[in-house]
Amino acid sequence: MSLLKRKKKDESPEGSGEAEAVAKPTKGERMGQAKDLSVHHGTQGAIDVAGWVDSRVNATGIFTAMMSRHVPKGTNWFYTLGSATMFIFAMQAITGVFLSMYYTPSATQAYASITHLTNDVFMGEFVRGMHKWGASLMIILIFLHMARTFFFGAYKYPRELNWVIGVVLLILTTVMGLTGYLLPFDQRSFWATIVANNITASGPVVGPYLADFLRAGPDFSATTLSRFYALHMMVVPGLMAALIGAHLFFVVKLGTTAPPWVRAPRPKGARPSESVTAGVASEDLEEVPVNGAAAAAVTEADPPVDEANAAEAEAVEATEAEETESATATEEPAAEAATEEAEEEPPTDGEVSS
Amino acid sequence: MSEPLNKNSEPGEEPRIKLPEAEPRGYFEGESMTRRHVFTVASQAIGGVAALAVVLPVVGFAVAPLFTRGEERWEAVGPVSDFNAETYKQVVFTEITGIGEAGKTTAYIRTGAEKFNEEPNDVIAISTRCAHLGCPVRFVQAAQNFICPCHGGVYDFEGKRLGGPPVRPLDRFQTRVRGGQVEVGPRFSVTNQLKAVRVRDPGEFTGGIWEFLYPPRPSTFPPPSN
Amino acid sequence: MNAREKEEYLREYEILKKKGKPFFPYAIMKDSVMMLVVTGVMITMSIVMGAEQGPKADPTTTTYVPRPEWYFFYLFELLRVIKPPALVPLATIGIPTICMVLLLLLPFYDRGPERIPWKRPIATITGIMVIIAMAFLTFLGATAGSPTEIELETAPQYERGKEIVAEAGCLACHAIGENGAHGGLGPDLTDIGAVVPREAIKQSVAVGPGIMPSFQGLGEENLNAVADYLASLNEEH
Repeated sequence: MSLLKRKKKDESPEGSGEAEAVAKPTKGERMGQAKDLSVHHGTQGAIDVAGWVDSRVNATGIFTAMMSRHVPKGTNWFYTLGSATMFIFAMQAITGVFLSMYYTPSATQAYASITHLTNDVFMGEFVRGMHKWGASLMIILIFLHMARTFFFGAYKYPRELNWVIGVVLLILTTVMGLTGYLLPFDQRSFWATIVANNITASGPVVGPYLADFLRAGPDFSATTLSRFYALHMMVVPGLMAALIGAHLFFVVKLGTTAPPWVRAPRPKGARPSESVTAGVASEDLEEVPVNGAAAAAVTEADPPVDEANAAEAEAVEATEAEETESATATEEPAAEAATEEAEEEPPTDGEVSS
Repeated sequence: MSEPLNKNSEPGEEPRIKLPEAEPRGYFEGESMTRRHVFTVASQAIGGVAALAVVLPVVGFAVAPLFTRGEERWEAVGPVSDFNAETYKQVVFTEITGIGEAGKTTAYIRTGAEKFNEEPNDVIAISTRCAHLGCPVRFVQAAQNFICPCHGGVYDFEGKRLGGPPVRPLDRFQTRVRGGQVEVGPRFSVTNQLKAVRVRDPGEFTGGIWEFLYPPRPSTFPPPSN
Repeated sequence: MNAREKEEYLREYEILKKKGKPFFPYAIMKDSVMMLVVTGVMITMSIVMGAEQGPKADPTTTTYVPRPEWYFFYLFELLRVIKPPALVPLATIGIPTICMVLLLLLPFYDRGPERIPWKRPIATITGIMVIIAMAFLTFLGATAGSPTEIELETAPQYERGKEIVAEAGCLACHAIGENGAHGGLGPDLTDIGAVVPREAIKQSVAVGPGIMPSFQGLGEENLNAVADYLASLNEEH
C-alpha cells in the first residue's frame, strides 16, 4: 500500500491525494500551489503518519489551498492587522478559559472570586491583566483592520460579504467588551452595565423587552450575572469563532487584496485599450479570447467564482460564458468568429506572469 | 447560450457539457421527480421538527423572565417620626432578593408637604436611579435638588427634571404605613405632572404616545391608583 | 461596478496574484512578527498596569461617578452633549443604530470601481472625518470630570462657595474652567466675576432668570457664599 502510494505521489507532485490528482489534474494548479508541494513529501523514510492521514482526508490539499495560495504583489504591513486581530481573539479565548477556572458567576461571590484570583492565585493578576488589556488591544486592532479595509477599498466586489461579516464581528467584539465588563463585579463594571442595559431599554417598542431579556427580569437580579457570563463565555465567542471561520474562508477563496495603487502591467500581445474601453457587456463576452491569457487565468485559477453563490450570479454567468466560448473555440476550430480571435491569443500564462 | 451546446452533441453521443437544466443535480438512472419532491419536502419537514423541538423549549427557557413577575415585597424602613416634609432622609432597603448586597437600593424619603398639595400623611419615596440612564443621583441639601454624576441631569425637590438630559421625573416607590412603620413597596414611574404610571427603565418617556411606544412589560407591577 | 468592470478587476487581480508570493512562509512571516509585537504589548501592559480591582459593586451608592470603558467613551460623550430630553432616544439608540447600518451596508451603496483612496475623495474624507469625530469625542469623554467637581484653583475664603456651586449641579448647564457643560444651556461662568457684579449674580442664582431654576432653597448664607465665589471668578485667577 505505502509503496503504491509513494509511487503515485512521485507521479503526481501536485499531490492532492491519489484519485484527486489523476482525475482533476488542474486542481493543484487552480489553487495556485503547483510546485511547492514536493517539500512536504521529503520525509519518506520515517513512519509516514502525515501521509497516512493525508491519503484518507486529503489534508494536504486543504492545507496547500490555505497556505500556498499566492498573496498579491505589494501587500505590506497593513495586511497583518487582520491576522493580528484573529490571533488576539485566540489569546482572549485561552486566557478566558483559564480565568473561568477560578471565577464564580454569582452576584454574591463574583467579586470575592476575582479578588482571590487576582491576589492569591499564582500569576493570577498577570493572566487577568492579559485578558483585560487584550480586550482593549483587540478593539484597537479590529478598528485598524477595518480602517485599512475601508481606505484600500477592499470591501468592494467581490468581497462585499466579507465586509458584512467583518462588521458583525466588530459588533460582537463590542458585545464581548460589554458582557465581560460586568464579570469582575466592581463599581465600575456594575454601573457601566446598568447604563448599557438602559440604553438598550430606551429603544422604542422592542427595547424594554430586550433589556428584560438581557438582565433576566425587570431589574438587575440573581440570574443577570450568570446570563452575562453565558453570553460572554459561550454564545458570543461561539458565534465569533464561526464568523471568523467564514471570514477566513472568504479570504482564502477570494484572495487577499493588493494595495489599490499596485497595478498589473498590461500583458504583451493584448490590446489594453480595447479591453478597457469596450463599453457594452455583450461585446465584452465576445472579446474575451483576445485577452486569452488573462481570461484563461481567470477561469482556471479562480474556481471560487465558478462555485460561488447567488451573490456573484453575474460573475458566474460571465465566467461560464468564457468557458463555453473557449471550449467551443478549441474543439471546433471552424466555429465562426471565435477562430479569428483565437489566433490572436497570446500563447501561455507564463508570458503573462513573467 | 444553451443552443450552440446542444448543436455540438450529435444524437446518441454523450453531450460534451452537461446542462444543469436538463437533469437536476445528482440525478440517477430511473429517478422519479415526484419521489424526489416527496423526499425533499419530507426531509426538510422532519429536520425542521427536530430542530424546533430543541430550539423552542430553550428559547422559552431563556425568555421566561420576561413573563415572570416576582413577589410583591414591602420592607419597613423606620418609624414615621423619622421623616419630615422639609428634607429627605436616605434609606437603604432590599429591592431584589437572593443576591445579597447587590439587590439593595437607596430611596430618599420625606412626608407630604402642603406646598406641593400633598397630604401630611403621605410618604414620598424617591428612587436614586436617574431617569436618563440609571446612574445613581444624589440629593444635594444645599441646592435642594437631585443631581446625576453621569451626564449632568438635575431634578428639583419633587424629583421633576430641571436640566440636563433626563426624559422624565425620578421614579418613586409605593409606600404605606403599618403599625407606625413606613414600608416601601414596588417601584413606579411618574409623568411630568407626577401622575403615577407603570414602571419603566430609565431613558423611556412617560405619558402621551410614549405609553404605547414603551409598551407594558408583564414582568413589572401595575402602578398605584392615583 | 458593472459586469465589465468586475471582470476587469478579477483579471487584473489574477495577474497580481500570480506575480505574488505564497502566503506561507512569506506573508505569514509578517503576520508572525505582528503577532509577536501584539503579544509583547499585551504582556507589557499586563505587567506594568496589572489588573486593578475597584470597590465592590454597590447599587445603593449616591456618590459614585460611573464611567465606561475607554472604547465606549465616544458613546458616553455623545450622551453627555445631547442635552434636550426629546433627543435622548436619538443619542442612545438612533445615532448608533444608523451608524451601524450605514457601516454594515457600505459595500452596497459604495459600488464604484475605484479603490485608490485619493481617487475617491468622498469616501476617504468621510472616513477621516468619522475617525476624527470619534477620536475627539473619545478625548472629551476621557477628560470629562464629574459634574460635582471643579478643578479651578480658588482662594481659601471662597472654597465654601465653590463646594456649594459644585454640589448644587450648576455644572449641568454651566461651565467653570475645564469642568461643566461647555456649550451647554447656560453661559460659561469661568470669568463671570469680570462681567457681572456680585449683587446681580446673587439675584440671578436666587431668582433663576429665564430657563434657569431658582436656587432660593440654598438659603441666605449659602447664596452669599455662592455669590462671593462666582464674583471672584475673573481673568486674574
